[in-house]
Amino acid sequence: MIRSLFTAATGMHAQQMNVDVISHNLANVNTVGFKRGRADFQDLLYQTIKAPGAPSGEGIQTPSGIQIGLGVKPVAVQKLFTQGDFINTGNELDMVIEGQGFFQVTRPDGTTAYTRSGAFKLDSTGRIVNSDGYPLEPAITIPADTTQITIGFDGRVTVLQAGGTTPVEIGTIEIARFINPAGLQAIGKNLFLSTDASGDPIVGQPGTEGRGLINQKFLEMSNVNVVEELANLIIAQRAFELNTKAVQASDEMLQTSAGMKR
Amino acid sequence: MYKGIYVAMTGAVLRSRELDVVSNNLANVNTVGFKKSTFASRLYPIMEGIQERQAVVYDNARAMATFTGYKIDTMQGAIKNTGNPLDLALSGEGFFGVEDGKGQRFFTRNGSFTLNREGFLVNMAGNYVLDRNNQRIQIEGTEISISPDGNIYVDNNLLTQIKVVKVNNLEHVADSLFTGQEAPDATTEVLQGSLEMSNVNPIREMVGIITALKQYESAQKVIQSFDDLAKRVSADIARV
Repeated sequence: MIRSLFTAATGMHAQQMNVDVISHNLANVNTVGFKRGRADFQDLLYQTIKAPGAPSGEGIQTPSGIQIGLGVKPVAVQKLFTQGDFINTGNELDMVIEGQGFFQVTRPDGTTAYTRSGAFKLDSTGRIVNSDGYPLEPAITIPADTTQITIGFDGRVTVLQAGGTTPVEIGTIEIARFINPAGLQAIGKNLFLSTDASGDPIVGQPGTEGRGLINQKFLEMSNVNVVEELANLIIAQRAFELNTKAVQASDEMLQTSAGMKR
Repeated sequence: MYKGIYVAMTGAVLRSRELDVVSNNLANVNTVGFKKSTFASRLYPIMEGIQERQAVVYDNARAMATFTGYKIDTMQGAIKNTGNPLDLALSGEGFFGVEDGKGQRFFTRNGSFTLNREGFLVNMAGNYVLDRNNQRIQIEGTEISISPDGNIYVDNNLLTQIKVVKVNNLEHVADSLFTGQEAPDATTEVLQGSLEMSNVNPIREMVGIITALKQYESAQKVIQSFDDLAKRVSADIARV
């Protein structure tokens, strides 16, 4: 009897979490390099009351047993690494990776984090850093008298210095690819960390070993599709409501049972 | 004392079981690849069969409702486009084959797959997806395309064919997995970039809740009537 109450509660809990994930996606609809998440659910345990195949008479077996499911559980919030839309910004230090791969930045504690957000800037010493000031890895320093920065598809950075006419190559941007990007750990600030599930980063020059190409003066927008998220929100909210009805019905049944003995 | 009170009781117990089943369906209204359970009850078999025999046993018979018609409804769920290349939906009767780390095999309709760190195709719980020869599928490459007949192409080279089979005597295991006896299947199509949603129909389940609740209340009324009857016997008839 009480079983249905808790079963419906798992449903409400799951839909609540679904709404959390959708809200996070919608909040980041305009975040450069953001990858949307998706809550994945699986059904919970089944309580077997009668095993399928149990004999129901001489030489006869019941074709199906009786199994009562106990609800639903969230199994993963999967990050979907589909490509976001590109917008042309004209800014020399804006980059996108067309295809698979992540920019690498060094965090203050020395560890490497990975990002799809290619909105880079220069710090006071001329290093290329992201919006939080984390330097690009391998570090590239732009000379002070630079008039023009060119970043090639293959990640090579060349600059034109004041008074000069021949471009000077000052470094190469390397990007990292993962076998299972969905296994990366999001830590906020558009950054990801590698985990056991993602596998080790396969670092190298863009355009090799399945890594994407770099495009300068573009930014990759969030891959959140507003219409889809809103449709998901409607479904999640209604599913939540349906489960509250099951809770109410269980409650009413309990009340009825309590009213049985006057 | 009163046979009927027990008959009504079995009805009430069953209706609460029915609510359990409906609640589980509703909890999974948004679970990818979920197949709903249906529920039916019937009279205890002693009331069926040969008339003369019934007449003989009737005095001792105890009619009651039993739980019989439990079934997994494999009706197709709605297909939702996601654009994710490792989301696979099945259109037709088939199931994907997966195995856990110990090699135990299961079936699933939940085609929300991903690659693990070694590049094996796995489901969200980490179970390995199998190909038609029951081998795990390892993908090395960037461009993955899967044709409707289940052939997996990696960078335009045919890698293998994903296992899609019919399953008889289905049984729920949890975690979107099923067990059963597999049978060959040639008609099911694999749709890449899509997921099959739950086949739970909210309207049907709401009606299920209402009937379960009302029948539970009726059973309660019957039990109360027997209670009244018993009270009359003990309190009124005996009054001299």
